Amino acid sequence: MNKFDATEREARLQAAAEQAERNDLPVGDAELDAYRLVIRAVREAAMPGLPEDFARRVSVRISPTADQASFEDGMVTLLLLGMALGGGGYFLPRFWPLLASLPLRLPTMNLPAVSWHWIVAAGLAISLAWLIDRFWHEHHGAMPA
Amino acid sequence: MSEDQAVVTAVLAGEPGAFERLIQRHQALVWHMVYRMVAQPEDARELCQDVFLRVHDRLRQFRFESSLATWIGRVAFNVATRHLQKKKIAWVSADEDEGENSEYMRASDGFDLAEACADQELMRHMAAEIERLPALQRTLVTLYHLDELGIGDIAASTGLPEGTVKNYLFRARHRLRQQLETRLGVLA
Repeated sequence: MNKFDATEREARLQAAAEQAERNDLPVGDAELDAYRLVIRAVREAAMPGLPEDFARRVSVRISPTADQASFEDGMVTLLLLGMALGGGGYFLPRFWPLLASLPLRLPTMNLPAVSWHWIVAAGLAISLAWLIDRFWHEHHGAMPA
Repeated sequence: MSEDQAVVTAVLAGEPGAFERLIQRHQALVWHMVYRMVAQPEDARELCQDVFLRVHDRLRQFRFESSLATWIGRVAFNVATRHLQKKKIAWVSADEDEGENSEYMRASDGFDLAEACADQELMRHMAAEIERLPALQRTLVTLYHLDELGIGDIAASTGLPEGTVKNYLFRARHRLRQQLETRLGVLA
């Protein structure tokens, strides 16, 4: 028997053994039974397992993390807000007259003068929109249409 | 709504206990895949945790294009193979010569299947031989016969072509049968 025929024969034996196992057919063919034993050995092979409370342990690792993360997010937001307000409260009275006295005229375009506080306001608005978008993506996936 | 959709929706909605239920449904498959690839129980347990943490992080990306089990299996397979690559452990064997020895000793002629299955010593020997199979072969043979995944699902989880999966399964069973024959020859 050449190699191809032998392989073909083995493949047929394996398929027949699988079928016999699935349908719980009677035993008796030694070659088939050898493959049936192989299949049973694979099914019954003892192997270590996961701890019984694996699912609970992993899910607990996620849930408190999520709660903790939202608490930490809140604290960081509060801190940043406090810093921004504090910084604004400290610097604005000092720099506002200076900023307001610096009119900006775009050199190549014949647009009316824009004072700095409009640019700051626009920057803040864009940043706020970006932060809201980022927050939404993190917590709710894509923005609803 | 399918079971997969229900569990995914519940997890994404943050329903209490939903993720634990998801883990319970899929932990056997993940364990079999990771443990059979890695063969180190402690490493495999750690990796299984990583798998489910990744599943949790990426669940929003699941598009129901396959079953949830297949998708989780793919995550598990990727985690296991990355671990083996990091440790520089080969998981694809190049032992192409094993198919050469197709002439058996026929030591199994007349052996009793029920009696053989009840023979603890023989079954322990076979379990050890399964452990000795190349990582990919022992993983595929376990997924197919123990977890009863179809060839298509295994191919989708591992990213291997179906023909390759069939080939590995054939070679794994062939090799185990050879080991069985050798063992029975020794016992005879």
